Amino acid sequence: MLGCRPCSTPIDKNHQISAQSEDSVNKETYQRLVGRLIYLCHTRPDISYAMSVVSRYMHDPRTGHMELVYRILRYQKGTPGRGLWFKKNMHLDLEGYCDVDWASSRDDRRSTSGYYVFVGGNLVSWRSKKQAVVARSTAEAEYRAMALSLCEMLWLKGLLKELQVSRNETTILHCDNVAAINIANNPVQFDRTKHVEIDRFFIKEKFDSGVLRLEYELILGPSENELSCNKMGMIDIFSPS
Amino acid sequence: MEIPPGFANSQTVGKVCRLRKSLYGLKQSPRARFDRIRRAVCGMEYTQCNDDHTVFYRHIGTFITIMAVYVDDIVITGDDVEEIKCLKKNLGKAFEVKDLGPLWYFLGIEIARSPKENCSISKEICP
Repeated sequence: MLGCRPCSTPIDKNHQISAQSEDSVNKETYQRLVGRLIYLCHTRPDISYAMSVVSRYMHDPRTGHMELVYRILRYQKGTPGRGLWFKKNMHLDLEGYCDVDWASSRDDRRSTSGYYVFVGGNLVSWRSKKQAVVARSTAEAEYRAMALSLCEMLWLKGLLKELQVSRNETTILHCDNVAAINIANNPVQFDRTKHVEIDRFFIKEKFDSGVLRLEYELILGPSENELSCNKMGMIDIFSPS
Repeated sequence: MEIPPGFANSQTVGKVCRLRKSLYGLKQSPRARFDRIRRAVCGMEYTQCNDDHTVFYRHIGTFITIMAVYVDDIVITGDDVEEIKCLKKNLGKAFEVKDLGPLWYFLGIEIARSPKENCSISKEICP
């Protein structure tokens, strides 16, 4: 791997990976490698989605999956000094961004939700997770992602409140799906949202109590990797400033 | 737990062991260990955080001191310099601890600081 070419993105934007991807590879090698990269996710939010994809095939790794892992390694090679930057912003506002990759899994067509939570303008929590149920529309998948990120934000809010370091301010959750925001805003029970009722009431409850505010924001796609890394506050500590 | 070799006879059939003291390597030992830390720290007038049980904090006036425990690694932060000194001293009395100075390496995460007191973290990967 030492002589490999660096790569600018951790995973292909339109990857078509599935469970049946050529021949089997050594399970132990694969698991060992992915296990190490999972640990790296603690400080590298940019690879969290790619890691969630490769972690799905731990039980039966194939050549195609191994290539994805090698690509993540090649991406790492291009950005060895990248780290999270914590700035002094003189506030502790909670802000969340959530997005979803609808029906991204080729094997069971489940969606992948992802979120980033900023405290005082610094990224502290992020996650990329395949949803547990199949979503029939993007709004529905987006809605589940909202509920997931809201859980994390509520925990952080509770923590800050208990430590008495933040005043009781409204947290903002940014979402790039107008339909999902409208469902949250609209108190009417629709037939089409019956099946996401629990998430719907959960978000609505927080929304009504003034804990949460939803805002529309276009979230960057995977092609704008460099830009999204900057937005996340990731800098290269080796670069001259 | 199984009866150790050599002790299995008609008298020990159906008997169980009573744990008097937790030992290294037992299933119960991490819990016993954390309980010991928790008792000691709560004895120093610290409160265990409800949202994250491994975080302890203490408010004195408007100042705050926060302590995060991860098995045998402890990170202390806060704006009360005197209290931090005092906490370190008290921890030294209760346990055998080593002060490693300002945070620069924690659980494989490397912390670099810019001269202006901003903080950046990055991570090393083991080959």
